[in-house]
Parts: sequence; structure tokens; C-alpha cells
Amino acid sequence: MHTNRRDLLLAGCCAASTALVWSVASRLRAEGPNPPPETTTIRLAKNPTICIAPQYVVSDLLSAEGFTNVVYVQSDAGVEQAKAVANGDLDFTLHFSGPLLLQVDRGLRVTLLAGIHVGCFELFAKEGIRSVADLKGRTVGISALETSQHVFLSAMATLVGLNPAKDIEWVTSASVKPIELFAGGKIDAFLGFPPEPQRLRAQNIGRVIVNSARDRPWSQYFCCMLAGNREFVRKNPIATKRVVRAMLRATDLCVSEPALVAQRMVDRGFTLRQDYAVQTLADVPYNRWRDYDPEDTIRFYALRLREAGMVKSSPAKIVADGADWRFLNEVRRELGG
Amino acid sequence: MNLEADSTTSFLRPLAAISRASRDGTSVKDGLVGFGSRPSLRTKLLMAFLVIEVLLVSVGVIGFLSLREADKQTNQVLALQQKIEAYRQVQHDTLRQLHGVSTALALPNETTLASALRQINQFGYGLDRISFVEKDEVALLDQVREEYARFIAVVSDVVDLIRNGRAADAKQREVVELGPLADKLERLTNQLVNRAEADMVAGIDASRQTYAKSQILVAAVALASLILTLVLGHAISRSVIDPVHIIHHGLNRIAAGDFTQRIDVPNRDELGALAAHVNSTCEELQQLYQSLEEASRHKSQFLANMSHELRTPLNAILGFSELLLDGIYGDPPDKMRSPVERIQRNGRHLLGLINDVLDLSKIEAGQLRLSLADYSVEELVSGVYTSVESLAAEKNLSLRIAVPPGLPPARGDERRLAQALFNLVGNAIKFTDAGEVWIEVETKGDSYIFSVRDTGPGVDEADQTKIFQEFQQVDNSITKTKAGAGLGLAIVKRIVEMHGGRIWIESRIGHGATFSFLVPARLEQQAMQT
Repeated sequence: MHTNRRDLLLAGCCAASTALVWSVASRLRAEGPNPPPETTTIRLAKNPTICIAPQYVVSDLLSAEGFTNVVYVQSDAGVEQAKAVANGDLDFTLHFSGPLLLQVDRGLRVTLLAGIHVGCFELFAKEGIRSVADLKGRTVGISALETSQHVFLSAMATLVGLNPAKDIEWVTSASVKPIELFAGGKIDAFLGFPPEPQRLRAQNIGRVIVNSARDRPWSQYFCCMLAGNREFVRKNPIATKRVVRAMLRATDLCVSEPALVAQRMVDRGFTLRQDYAVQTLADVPYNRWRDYDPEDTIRFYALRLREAGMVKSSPAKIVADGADWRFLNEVRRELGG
Repeated sequence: MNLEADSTTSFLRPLAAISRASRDGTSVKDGLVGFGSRPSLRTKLLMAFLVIEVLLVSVGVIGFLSLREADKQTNQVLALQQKIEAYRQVQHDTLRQLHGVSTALALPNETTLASALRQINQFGYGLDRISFVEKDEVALLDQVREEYARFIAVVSDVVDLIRNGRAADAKQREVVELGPLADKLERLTNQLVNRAEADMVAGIDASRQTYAKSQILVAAVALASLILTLVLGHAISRSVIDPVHIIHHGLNRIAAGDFTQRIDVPNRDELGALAAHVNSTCEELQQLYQSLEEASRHKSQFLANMSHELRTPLNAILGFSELLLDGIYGDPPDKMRSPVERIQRNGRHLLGLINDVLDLSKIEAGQLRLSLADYSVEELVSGVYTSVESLAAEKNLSLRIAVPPGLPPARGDERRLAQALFNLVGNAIKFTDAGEVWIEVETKGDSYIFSVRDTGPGVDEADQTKIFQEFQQVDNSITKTKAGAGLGLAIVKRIVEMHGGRIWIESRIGHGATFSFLVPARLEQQAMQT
């Protein structure tokens, strides 16, 4: 049997990851006589976005937490995913907080539980557009209204004094993806999320005018947050805490073992390009969940979306109705930080 | 004397009635029957006005409270705006310090280093200015102070390193420590700003809600006040106007002579007491009326009897005086003839008077009954004409008749109608010294109008209403020269009214007079006497 260096490296990585996950799982089992979760089945979302890497590598950690059946349900990114959580079709998801806030404002039964990572979106624009303010009167491609792209760009536009409903010409297309429209020069700007920014950069298309991982104020707030079905959270507090803990440990893994995580995502079919996955894990700050205040993120986006006229509730009401930090605070104490 | 005694009694009766009511258990207070068990009209009105006042005051108080709440909310929002400004200042100062340190590193001289240290020391003032923070933000602000102390320490170290010529170490510490510290400080101040903005948004929402609630509350209270005021107004007006109407109708019935029905007012206030008074007065009036009727009947009976008793000897006087004048007892001497003729003339006048009094008494006593039968108007007028023709001729007056030909037979008491017409024509001839007297008949619907027109002195307008009353005559020189007791027109009026008709006069002084009466062409039943 002939083995080359790549196979050897892959085998080593697999062994190392298995050992790492086994060690984390062993530590979980050793943490004490915690009661078992109320349910052993967890349903999570699966979509082309790869900045939610912790969700794709959390299954082993969930198994160690006592969940024997971790199901990934194919779901569109954006408002539909938030609705699926509210309806109980999904138990948990990692998602940009903006669309989740819209659902909370509308009374849908979604509970935000923790902040996972800071900005992953990048705003690409044609030459000649240097800032968000320059988007006035320009065409911007989005999958649909109230998607993450639309909500995030609306918040950005509001912050610089634009009226997103009037000043920006939104372009949606069911047949052609926005990234293709941008690549084809048919729209002026496009907000991409991993692996789209990596692809545009690789192809040298457009220029980045906002990088939410690095540019203020976006870099000072969470992008993707862990949200759960409110009824599930209410009925299954032990399971919820275990999911929160597993998800935050998976987030730590993204920091400590990005290559391993990227490999797992490819192996399990969550993405095709490992190089883009590795790049994403390097670009996205997964190490901020201990330092950043998720409630402040909700407050910030709620203020911006309210200014944009997309939500009606006050930030305090949205926090009161749609957030529960008990599990995060407990897990933060347990995991340190 | 009896009359006086009666009237004294009648004045005392209401008090007696009240005393009876008191004995029967009806409360009497301040002279008001039934007052006391329920609120008086004054109390009701006062209560209604009090309720309206309370409602007005309520609207005012609610408006005042709403304004106070709005003022409170506005002050809160203003305080939050001040807070946001202060937090933004801190945020700005943080960035400026970082810039100062970067400048000092780029241009390491004493001026830039001193400037960086000055800015750092002044930053504490900005933190102290935020002394009005909410309690829940104290922890966050303490965190800011803590991080800032760390920041100052590192900056001081960096400045020392630069002064000691260790620029590379200073740069290293800036990148590794100062950058993240500044980032954290900025994030913490962002949190303060976000919290204050969120509080302000909540304050604005609360203010809007308060305004909306106040609007609804004030509108609801105003609407309730309006409805309550209308209901109260309606209830009070009903409790006042309805009894007043009932009492008004009752008084109209009493005025028309109907004393049998009681005024039934459910109120137990002043109006109820008034109704009770009216009822007791009505009872008294009824008794008085009955007494008067009885007395009148007795009077009429007396007069009828007296007239009859007087007529018998008077007829004898007239008969014997006529016999004397006719010479049955031999030719009377010339000296005696004149006194006997005077006896006969005065006797006839007296007999006429007695007959009139007897007729009037019978009518008043209700003893006169009409004999209804068919008659011819032409014959009736013709009969009267024949009776008075000689009287008119004696005074050289022209007496004329105007009756439409072919009138259908009428029905009524022909004798009494002839008497009425005779009286009118007799009066006309009596008071007309020259000229003409017309007797005219015309039809009006189902009625006949009999008119007697003369060229006499006429009747003054002031006297026209009283000449139809008993023993009333026009008081002037003309009537004084003419004989008469003032009963003729009263009898005519009664006869006409017994036929269900009416009589009237049209006259002007110096232009004659026209007396007319209207009677139904066919009277089937005698009208009720009034």
C-alpha cells in the first residue's frame, strides 16, 4: 500500500482531531454529575454560509453533551432560517443578529442565547465607490428583502444618514445570485459572506469598502449569534445550556484548531473549498465571545434598525422579549473568561 | 254674612287638608307636602351641577397629570441626551489620546510627549463629569475607569521608554497593549452610548404611549362627561318639565270647570308638593262650586217661584185695569182714565220683566228644555216682523227683511229662537231713533246666521263684551232714557248657546250695530248648558 505525504498529513489531522474532540468529550464527562438533557435530539441549520463553522463542527461536542441525534436541516440563510427557528422546525441556529431581531420585534418565538463571533460580512463595490455614503442612488444586490445582506446594509446606510428604503436601489433576482450579478458588473455593490468574499478576492473582483471584522463600529459587535426556539429553551433548560456550552467550545476550536475545523467542514460536506474555509477561519474573529457584550450588540442593531424603520420595538423591549443570557453567563464562568 | 263665613272657611280649608295629609302619614316639611323622603328639586339641581363640576375638575386633573407626565418624560429624554453627549465626549477623548500617543511615537520630542501626558491627565475630568449615571451603569463606568487606569499606566511607560530612547520597545508596547486597551475602552464607551440611546428610545416610546393614553383617557372622560351631562340634563328636565306639563293640563281642566280629575305627579319634590296643593285646592274648589251651584239653583228656584207668585196678582191688576178702561164697570171718568192707563202700562212693563227673570232663572236652574221640531226660517222671521212692525212704525223706522228664498226646513226650538230674534229686533227699534232696522238671514255651511242691523248709536268696544251678561247695560245717557233690566241679551245668549251656537256684535259708536247669532241648521240634541 502506497501512502504519500498528503495522505499521511490527512491521517495525522484526523487522528489529532479525533484525539482533541475525545479529550474535550472526556473532560465534559469528567465535569461532574450534571443531569442529562431533557431531549437527545437537536436540529441545526445547514446552509452555504461557512462563517458559522462552530455549528458545523459541534456535533461531536453535542454527542459528548448527551445528544445522540444531531440533525442538520437544509435551510436558506436569512429570514427564513429565523422563521424556521421560531416555528420549531429548527431548535438552534447560528445567525446574523439583524434578521433575528426583526422576528423578535414581530413577536416570533426566538430567543438569543449567546454571541459567537464578530463580523464576517464584507461590502464589495465597484471602482468609484469609496464609502457607504457613496451608495446613494446605486444598485445593491441582495438575495431578498430582510435577508442578512439587506438588514446589515440597511443598518450601515442608516448609520451614515442614508434612508435605505429610498436612497438605495435594491436588486433581487431569483434566478441569478447577487454575487454573479456583481461579478458580471450588473450591480454596483454586493455584501458577501464567507465563502463569497474569499472568492471575490481570489478573482480580484471589486474592492472592499467595509470589512465588518476590522472596521469600526461593526468590528465591535457580534455578527452571528446563537438563537434557539423559545419553547425549546423554556422546556429544555439543561439541553439548552449544554448546546450553548458545546457551541462555545466549538467556537474556541475555530480559534485553536482552524485547520482541523476547516477539514471537518469539507469532510462533512458543509463546504467544498477547504482553502476558503481556512481563510474564513483566519479572517473571522472567533475569539471575542468572552469579551464582547451580546446585549450591547442587540441594543446597537436594534437602534440602527429602528432608525431604518425596520423594527418598531425599543431595544429594551427586544432584549426583554428575545434574549436570555443565563446559560451564557453560566457557561462563561465554567469555561473561563 | 253667610258668604263671608263660607269664604273664611274656604281659606282655612287648604291648611286643614295639609293637616289631614300630615295625619295620613305624608310628611310635611317647610310647607311642602311629601318633601323629605326624597331629594328636593333644589337638591337634585345642586347634585347635577356638582356632578358636572366634578367631571370638569376630573378632566382638568387628568389633563394636568398628563401634562406633568409629559413634562417628566421630556426631562428624562433631555437628561439622556446630556448623558449621551457626555459619553460621546469620553469616546472622543479616548481616540484623541490614542492619536496623541501615536503622534508622540512618530515624532518623539518633549513637546509631543508632554502633550500626550496632558491629554491623559485631562481625561479624568470627562469621567468625573459623568456623575449622573444610572445605578445600573455604575459597574460599566467602573470598568471604564479601571481600563483607563491601565491605559494611563501603559502610556506612561511608553512615554518613559521614548524618553529613554527605547523607541522600538515603546512601539512594541503600543501595538501589543495600548491598541487592545484603546479598543476595549472604545467598546465600553460604545456600550454606555448604546445604553443611553436605548434608554432614550424607550423614553420616547414611553412618552408616546403616555401621550396616546392621555389622549384616550381625556377623550373617554370628556365623552363620558358629555353623555352623563346629557343623561342628567334629560333626567332633570324630565323630572321638571313633565310634572309642569301635567300640572299645566290639570290647571286647564280646572279652569274649564272640571274638578273631578286629580293631578298625578310622581315627584316627591317641590313639584310633587305643588301638585298636591293644586289637588287639594281643586277639591276645595269643587266643593265650593257645588255649593255655589246649589245656591244658584235655590236662587233660580226662588226667582221662578216668586215670578210665578208675582205674575198671578199682576195679571189680575192688568185684567181689571183693562176691564175698567173697556168700560165694563161703566165709563170711567176722564180724570181716572189716565191713571188707569198708566197702571196698565207699568204693569205690562213689570210683567215683561218678570217673564224675563223667569226665563233666565229657568235656564240657570236647568229647567228650561228646548222643544226641538222642524221650522221654517222664513216663517220665523216673518212672525217676528209682524210682532215688531207696529213698534217700528210708531218710531217711523224702516224695518226690512232679507231672507234667501227656498231655505230648507230647519230644526230647533222655533219659539225660543223667535224670542231671541224678537229681543234683538226689539232692542234695535228701542235704541234707534231714526233710520232703518234690517233682519237678515244667511247660510254658512250647516248653520244659519241671523243678523239684526240698525242705525242706532252703536256700542262702545269696551262694552261689547259685557252687554251679554245678566243685568248689564251700556252706561250712557241713551240707555238711561230707555227702560230695561239688562236681561234680554243674556237670555238671547243662553238660548243661542242651548242651540250649540254663538252670538256676537259688530259695532262702532255713531255707526249703528249689528247683532248676529249662528245656530245649527238642524239641531238633533240640545247642547249642554255652560
